[in-house]
Amino acid sequence: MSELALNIGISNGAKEYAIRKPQVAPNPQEEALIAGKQGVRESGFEWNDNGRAEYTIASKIDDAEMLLTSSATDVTARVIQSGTISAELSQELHGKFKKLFVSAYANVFSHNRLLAKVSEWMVGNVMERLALVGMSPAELEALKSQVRADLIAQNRVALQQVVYDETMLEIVG
Amino acid sequence: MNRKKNTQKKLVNELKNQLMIQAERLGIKEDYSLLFMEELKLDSVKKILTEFYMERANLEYEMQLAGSAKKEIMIKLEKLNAYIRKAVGVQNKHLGVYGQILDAGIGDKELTQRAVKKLEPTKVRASA
Repeated sequence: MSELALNIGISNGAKEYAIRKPQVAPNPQEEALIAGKQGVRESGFEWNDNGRAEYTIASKIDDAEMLLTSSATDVTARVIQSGTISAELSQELHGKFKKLFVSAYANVFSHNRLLAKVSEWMVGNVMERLALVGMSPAELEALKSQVRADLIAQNRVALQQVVYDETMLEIVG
Repeated sequence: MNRKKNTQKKLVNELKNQLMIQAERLGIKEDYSLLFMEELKLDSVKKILTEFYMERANLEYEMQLAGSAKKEIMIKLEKLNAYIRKAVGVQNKHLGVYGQILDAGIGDKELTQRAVKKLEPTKVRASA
């Protein structure tokens, strides 16, 4: 008596699954032939059947043509497409990281020591990211000096305003 | 009133300190020398005085036009004149400080004057 007959609780689906014959691994050559009949294979090879179940590869293209074909396959087209997407993404990231870098680098000079320290760490991190996105060191230096120049101008104007207020208090207060 | 004044002064000093710390971090604290600060102060006094004079001119014009509200304008003018006098006093005080700082920078006055004289181009008279 088989084990299945004893096992009453097993559902029909499960029984079917249990008695199903193991799948035979498909012959790659046969599969290739079927694929070859369906259309042009990606590799450019063609399988020939000589009638005695002996498959041979029949490549009708020489090496130069193969190079040309390989550069015109769907795969290459996909690579170009994904390249354009990554360029857009990198441009977007470039802008975002640049903004982040400007604000972080400005905070490095803050009077608030904690904020300055945190910003120093942040600047290091963002610089790394910017380098990955493709910003050159020269560009980064230019950005740094621009931020610094802006901050110096801001500081001077703010000091003028504070001195004005101080003088006004001295006179009116 | 005095308390409010003190609070305002504290606030201004705090802002000034913060700006100085920022300047130090930016590496420009040397630019904010005593002389530079006095220059800023003198510029501010000049600006305030100009504003006061403009306000006085406006009040005087209003007084010429006004009929019954002359008393109010007169009080304002008096107050403004007091402010102008005080501003002039502050200006003179800071001019004095500015001069002192300049003198300290020059060092010995007599020696400096002699050096300046030597640097001046000599006048050559044409002989007859």
